[in-house]
Formats: sequence, C-alpha cells, structure tokens
Amino acid sequence: MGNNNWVSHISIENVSFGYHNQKVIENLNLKVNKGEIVVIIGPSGCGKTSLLNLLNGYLLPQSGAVQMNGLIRTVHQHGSLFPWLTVNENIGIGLRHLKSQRTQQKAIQDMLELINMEGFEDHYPHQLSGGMKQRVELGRVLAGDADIILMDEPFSSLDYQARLKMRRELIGLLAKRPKTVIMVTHDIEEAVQIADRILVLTKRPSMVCAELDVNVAHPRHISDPDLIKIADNVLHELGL
Amino acid sequence: MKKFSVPLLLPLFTISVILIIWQCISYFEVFPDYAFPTLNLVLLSFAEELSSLRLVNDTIASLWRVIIGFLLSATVAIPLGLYFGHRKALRQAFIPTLNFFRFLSPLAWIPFAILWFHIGDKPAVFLIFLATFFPLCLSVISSVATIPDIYFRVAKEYHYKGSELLLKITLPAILPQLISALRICYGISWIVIVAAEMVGCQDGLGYGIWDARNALRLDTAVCYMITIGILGMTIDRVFLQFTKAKNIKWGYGK
Repeated sequence: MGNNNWVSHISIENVSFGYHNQKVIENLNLKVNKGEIVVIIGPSGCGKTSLLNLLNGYLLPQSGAVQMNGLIRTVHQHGSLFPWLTVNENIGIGLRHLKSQRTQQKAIQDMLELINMEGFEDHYPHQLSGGMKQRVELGRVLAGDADIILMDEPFSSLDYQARLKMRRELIGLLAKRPKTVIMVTHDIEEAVQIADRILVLTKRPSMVCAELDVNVAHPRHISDPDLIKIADNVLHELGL
Repeated sequence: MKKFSVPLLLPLFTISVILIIWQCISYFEVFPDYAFPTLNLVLLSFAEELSSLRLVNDTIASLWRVIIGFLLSATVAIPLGLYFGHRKALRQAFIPTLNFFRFLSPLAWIPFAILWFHIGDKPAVFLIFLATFFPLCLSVISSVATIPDIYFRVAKEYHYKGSELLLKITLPAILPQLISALRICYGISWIVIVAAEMVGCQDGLGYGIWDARNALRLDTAVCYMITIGILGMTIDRVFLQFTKAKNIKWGYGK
C-alpha cells in the first residue's frame, strides 16, 4: 500500500567488498534521497549486481556501512515470479501483511488495474509475454508496503519495443506509487530515460567515477538533446 | 457419427498388429502349444480365472501390497529428501550411501525379507519400500537442490519461513519432478511385487504367475501378465492427470 509518510533513504559509506582476494567494490559512497530514482551504470562485470546484493542484505560488506531506512523489495534480472501461482496470487505475495482477505483482494484488483493486467488474473507466468511478466513483477513489489525498490536490469530480457514501453510504464507507476528506486542497468538510453541521477562506476574495483543529474521532465523522449548530451557524458565517463 | 482421434487409433493399431503377430506365431506353430499359448487359450483362461474370482483376489492382494509399500516409501522418502535437499552437509554425507543402496537390486533382499518377515504381505511390502525409497529420496534431494535460488531470495524478502517456506515454495517448486519420480518409482513397485510374490506369498499376481508356471499353464501366466500391464497403465494414467493441473503444467513446458 502507498504510504505518504515514508522516510526511506539509503546510505552507503566507504563500502568495500570482494570475492576471495579479488576486490570488487572499493570505498564506495552513496546517498539516495527518499523518492529518488538512481540508476547505476558501469562496465560489464564491474560489480553492479554485487552492489545490489549488498543493499538487500544477501552479501555483507568487508568494510564500511550500508544503511537502508525502509522495507526493501527487489525486481530481479531474470523473472522471479513463482510459476505455480497465478498473476493474482503472485501479486498477492506482496500483500501478505494484510490480514483481511477482502482488503487483500481489493488491493490486488487495484494493482491489476494499475499495471494494465485486468483479465489476466488467473493466468500463470508461462502463459504471459516477457513484458507482461515484468509488469506483474513490478505489480508485486509496488503492491506491498515497500519503501525501497532495487532493480537488477529488469528489462534486459525484453525486446527493444517492449523495453521502451516498460520504461514509460515504470515512470507512470512510480508517479502513482512513489518509491525510492535504485536500478542497475547496462543500457545508457534506459538510464537517461528513467533516472533522476545516474551513477557511473569504474571497472573493478568499482568506484563512483561520475554522478550526473538528469533534470529533464517526464515523459522523456530519447531524441531530446539534453538526454543525448547526458548519454554522451556517460559514454565519455565509461571511456567509450 | 463421432470421429475417432488419431491418438486413440494409433495405439489400437499397434495392439492389433501385436495380436496378429501372436496369432501367426500360434498358427504356424513356431513354438509348441505348451510354450506359447494361443490367444483363444488366454481368453478362456481369463474367463476361468475371473469366474473363480482368483484373478480378482490376486489383483486386490497385489494392489494392497503395492499401495502400502509405495505409500510408506513416499511418506518417508519425500520429507527426508526435502530436509536433506536444503542442507548441503547432509547431502554430502548421505548421497553416497543412498546411491549405494539404490544400486542394490531389491531382489537381493528377498532372503532377508523372508527371514525377517516370514511369508505374507510384510516381505513384499518391505521389498517395495526398499525398491522405491532410495530412488525417490535421491530424486527429491536433487530436485530441491536445483530449485533456482531466486525463488528463495523472493521468499526471504516476503518473510516465508519454516513450514510455510516448505509447503508454499519448496514443495510446489519440485512438484513436476516429484510427480515424474513417483511415476517411475510406482513402475518399479509393479516390477518388484511380481518377483516378491513369487517367493514370499501365497496369493497375488506374482504368485499367480508362479503357480501357473508350476502347473505348466502358461495361458494363465499370460492372463496374469496382461492384468499386471493393464493395471500399471491405468494407475500411470492417474499420475499423468496430475501433470495436467494448471499449477503443475509449467514444469512440463507449454
């Protein structure tokens, strides 16, 4: 459920992390304000997913501190819907905290309407297209009382047209249900279309090499000169 | 007029061909009568066994042993497999032992079964238990161990714990593989019951075949063999229906 008094923010201070003797992230600092959409971009294998795993607690930093003020939900790179549950039931997982069946059903119905999946409530994930599955994933995290949403390349498995559509839908959904979002992607176009702020990471060991604010109003068109300029800056920071 | 579908006609065609070959072998006397009963003799034997109720009683006795042995095995193997599947150390400790026993033919246990349980239902049930427990347990362990980690991550985020995690995440995630394993193990049960009843029982389909052999009535033996095949196929169709359930179908492709 949407919570108007949410106070979430994220703070990462001097975080370092590595596997065995290989440093993946070194002295990373990041503060995310409530309601902000931060997109992290970096070279392949730089540790973007490791960073998300540090944020949602699957990994522990070797040094430094991660502070997450609020309930976290994750949208995974490869679909994480339960294949044995219907669309209705998958979204219902996000509403397990609601005691009343009637309230839960009402919230599911609202979410189905919001994600444009009315009429598909009894379908199973294998009966849906890639874009529909991602909409249900988003519905599941947005339906709950999460304050922070972590997204690990959520649209990478979709075709180009579906990706364009999903970006628009995500912005629309977040306008109706505001959350703090950290998204990891390798798609610069996606980053400039969605982000309030883009963080560019270096190669391993990862550090933030640039922070770029995207002060362009939504809906953002990829041909917007300001967005093209920011995308050029990202490419420059990546050494491309 | 109602049309027959191809999936129904094809097996009927195959069965017809087998019956024709059978009749040809009998007609041309490739084997002597006592070693290769004719179709007519087998049908007569069916009528005889059914009218004396012997076939019915033997079928009930075998079904009872298979069901009890198989249920006992599933009741122990599935929870144990679920528990071991979640724990790497236990898997490492027990999988070699489970594999060792899986490769031992259940027939090797027949002398022990008779010495420990004498004759009757118990040795047969014990042999079915042994024959199905190890493959079923190993299959469940392997299914649990290969559940995509992503499901457990989501479950953790949404606070699934303990029995709820087991019943709402782990069990449904392995259900397609579990049903396949149950089908295979059920097939093993039918193979074993025949052998077990040949030596440790005074009734049942396996005993019926053994008794017919001793009386040189291969027509009766064939009638019992056909009964075993039909029963096996019928119960397998029941398992097959489970795979068509909407919340399980995902595991068998579209």
